[in-house]
Amino acid sequence: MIRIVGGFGLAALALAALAWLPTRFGAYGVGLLLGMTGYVTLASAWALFSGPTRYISLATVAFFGIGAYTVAVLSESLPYPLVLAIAGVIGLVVALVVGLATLRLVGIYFVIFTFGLAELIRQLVTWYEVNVTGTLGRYIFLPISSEQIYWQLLGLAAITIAIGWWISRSRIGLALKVIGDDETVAAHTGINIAGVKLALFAVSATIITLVGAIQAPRWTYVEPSIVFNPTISFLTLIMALLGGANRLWGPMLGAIPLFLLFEWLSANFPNHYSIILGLMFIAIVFVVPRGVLAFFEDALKQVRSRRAPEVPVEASEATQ
Amino acid sequence: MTALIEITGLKKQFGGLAAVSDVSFGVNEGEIVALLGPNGSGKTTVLNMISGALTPTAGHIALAGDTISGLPPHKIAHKGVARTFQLVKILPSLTVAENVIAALAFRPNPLWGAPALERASDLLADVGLAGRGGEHADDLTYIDQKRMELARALAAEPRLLLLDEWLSGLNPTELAIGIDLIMSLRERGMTILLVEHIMEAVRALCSRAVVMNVGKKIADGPTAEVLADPGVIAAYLGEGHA
Repeated sequence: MIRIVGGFGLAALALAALAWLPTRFGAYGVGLLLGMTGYVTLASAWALFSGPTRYISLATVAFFGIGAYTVAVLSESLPYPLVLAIAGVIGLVVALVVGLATLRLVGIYFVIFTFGLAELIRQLVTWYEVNVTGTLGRYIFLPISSEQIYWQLLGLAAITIAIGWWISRSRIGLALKVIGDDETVAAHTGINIAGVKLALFAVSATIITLVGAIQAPRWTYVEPSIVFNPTISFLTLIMALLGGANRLWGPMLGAIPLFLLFEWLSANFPNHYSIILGLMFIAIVFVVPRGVLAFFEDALKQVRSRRAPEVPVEASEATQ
Repeated sequence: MTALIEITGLKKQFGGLAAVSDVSFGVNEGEIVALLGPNGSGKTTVLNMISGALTPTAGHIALAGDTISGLPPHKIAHKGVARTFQLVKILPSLTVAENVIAALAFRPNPLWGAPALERASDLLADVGLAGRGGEHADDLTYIDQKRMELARALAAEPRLLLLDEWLSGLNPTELAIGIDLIMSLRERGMTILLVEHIMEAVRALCSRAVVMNVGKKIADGPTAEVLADPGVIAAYLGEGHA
């Protein structure tokens, strides 16, 4: 109990410090913080579903784009908080429909479906804008500063990680572990596997939709190729995998360094950016398939088990 | 006595192979019935259809008058059917206690937190694993894994318990312990349908036996009579021995 209270205290302090950061940075620094927090949230939300279920989703940008487009369409006619709420609800409904239709798909079929879904929504929006409204792009003029966007994202990131923490301690968390171990046993002990997966997919997709909606005002100009850019799905996935999609803090630990690295790469090697990105994807999947956190834990275990036979550790260190 | 589970005209077709065809029998409340037959006769397929792991091609299964055939396994579990598996299925990444809590947390009247932990240690004590809840399920010996699996099945407080060769693979000492365990369940009034190859156990535990061969029911009656039946002996040992 003391540990939990202490942990919450530390997290609250860290959150306060992060919220205070924009006052110390210029516009570029705030932009960087904002983008980083956005990806921390995306990767953490992605891992809520894909971590325990091992369903690799490439639909991140489908929901992200739905959020951004909802804001673009509604921001002039409705108050901002209401627009955010509507975006969240649309994301939730789409997630439930898609989830019901697809969670039966296993492995590679699910990956392909989610990738196709993102493209489908992007093409639908493009078609609608061209043929019905007559313009492809939309402008978003909202009196929201970068700092405000950053604070919203920070709040959402905190909520996402808090949900992850709560799940890990709840019955759903146990259900996920049982499903991960053996789906037959899970079903025979009374766990509604499809229901658990659908609930997680819906929560994850709603958060991702909100990230898109919150970030939308920053672009000012929005069109399908910007907000439905598949690179966003790939970056989210690789960040979560680098940190470890099965750990509470894993996605965050993957998102921060990779985001900074990609920023630096796109500034310094704009022409080779995609190539380097591709190579990094391959490297991460080959070298740390379960994430750096698990990688270091395994390494630590190996070192310990190797040391175990030599009885006094201090003594063996002293002789060296 | 009333039939707790009533199976009528049960059939399972895998492509061109009829694994189970037109099998009907019932198990009464408080009874322990053996489901016997040579390898490949369809016993486990019948258990799988009762627990919902497989959907019957045709036929009907009712638990206390409620149709359960065609329901998904988690719903059948909630109606009161629990089982163990032919190849013992543990949850390797969890502790022994968590393996049992998994069943406590998802039954219709779920337990969670301290009450679940308490109940789990009681159940583990019942099957002879007192005080071992903190161990990793992976590290248990075969008999202890089987005990844990039984505790998990009992945690659901089932009305019907399905045991699929729960006694097989045990050495003679362990077998005696296992038979005693199932005896103690019978004394508590548990209804059990078990698939078993160990005749010593079947004779000791089961008042009635149902025998299957090549997907069909060939005998059904008091255990001693059924085991003396020439048709049953022929099915097990070949025509020459009948």
